[in-house]
Amino acid sequence: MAYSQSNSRELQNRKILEEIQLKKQMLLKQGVAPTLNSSLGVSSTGSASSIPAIQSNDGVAMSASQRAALHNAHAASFGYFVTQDSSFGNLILPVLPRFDIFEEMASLRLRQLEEYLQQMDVFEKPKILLEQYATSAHIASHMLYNAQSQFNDIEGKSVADLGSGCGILSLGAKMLGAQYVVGFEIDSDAIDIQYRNCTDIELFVEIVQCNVLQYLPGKFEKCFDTVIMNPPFGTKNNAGTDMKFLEVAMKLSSNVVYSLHKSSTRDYVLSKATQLGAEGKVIAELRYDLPRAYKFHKKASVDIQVDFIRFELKR
Amino acid sequence: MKLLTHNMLTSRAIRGVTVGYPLRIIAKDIRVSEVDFNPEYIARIIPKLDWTVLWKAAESIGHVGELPQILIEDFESNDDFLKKVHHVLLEVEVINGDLLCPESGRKFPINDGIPNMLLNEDEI
Repeated sequence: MAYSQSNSRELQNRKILEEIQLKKQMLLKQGVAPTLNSSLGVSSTGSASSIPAIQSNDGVAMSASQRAALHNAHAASFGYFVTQDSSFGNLILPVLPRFDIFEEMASLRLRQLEEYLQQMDVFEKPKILLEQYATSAHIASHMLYNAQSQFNDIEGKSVADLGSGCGILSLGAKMLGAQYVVGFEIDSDAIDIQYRNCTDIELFVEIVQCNVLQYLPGKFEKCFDTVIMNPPFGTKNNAGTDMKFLEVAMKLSSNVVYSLHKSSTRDYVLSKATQLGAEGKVIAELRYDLPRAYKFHKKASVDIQVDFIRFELKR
Repeated sequence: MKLLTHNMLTSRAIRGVTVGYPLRIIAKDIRVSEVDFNPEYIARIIPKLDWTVLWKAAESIGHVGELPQILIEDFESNDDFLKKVHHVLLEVEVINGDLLCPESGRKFPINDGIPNMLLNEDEI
């Protein structure tokens, strides 16, 4: 009894399915549903079936009105549509997200980040001994943006900035959603400017005044997910300072260090990184424009080649 | 200075000081501000903390709230608990005051929320 009942229901179901299939085929022959045409205001209504079907890129036969509808859908919506024969007879399927839109949004973020950083104050009287070259808004925004968009190393992370200066990298990291940011800086004047920058944009990061090379790592060892810095290159009387900073940075970080180093020292920097238990990869080569900040610079500005390197710590 | 930062600060760099931790807080101004709560982040940072030091620091400045003196075991899945930790770690800040070295009594001033850990040449 029970068996025969379910059997009759099965038959009924099959009939319904067959009917649907038939309707689907009819719809496919007719082309796009007339409601779609009218609501989208596509001019070429009339009998869609009379227009010869054209092969679309996807290899699906499409009439001109279908093509127009697809075009309209693409133009009028943020979504992305593919032409595919679905089981419901729809030729145009919406697909979300549309990636180029997201890229556009991201690049807007990059431009915005650079604009914000451009508004920040920089060194009033740079100090030779501390090699206070301000990181330009352009370089800082690209460093941070790359660290976030390519490697997801900023948002929701603990970030340290060694020799944070006027705080351009610290504040940039905060803007990109870092959860906890500490700038370590020795110089009171630089800290005053960083603090002013914080209050100006009402975005606060932690600042610790200390001598990076003497005070750290201390108990900050492995405390940060990411260290990002523009260390003194160590070109004048303090040769090798960038490598000392790098060594400290690698102790503070549990994951990754981003840093700038002169391209001329690349081989040395990368092999030193290996010794310290990290794998360094040059992400970008930059032209670092040093404006004539100090008297001993003879030219108005000097371009130096700088590597932007990502050091991933081996665990 | 957030209490998360305080949890990592030492006075170990002073000559003759062996541990230099934890630093005592003399708070003149405290600011409490709202910070976005990220439970995964807090769960991730807890193992890096010295819990007793955090609790005592929060208590000493009158902001321990309902934070338990001993770290609970299932903290990762306990949002209520993580929220309390979040508050103490990131929302309470010492704006002006001093940090005291537990061994030498050396004062490190905090101005505008910035602790000055610099030492004189003769202290190193």
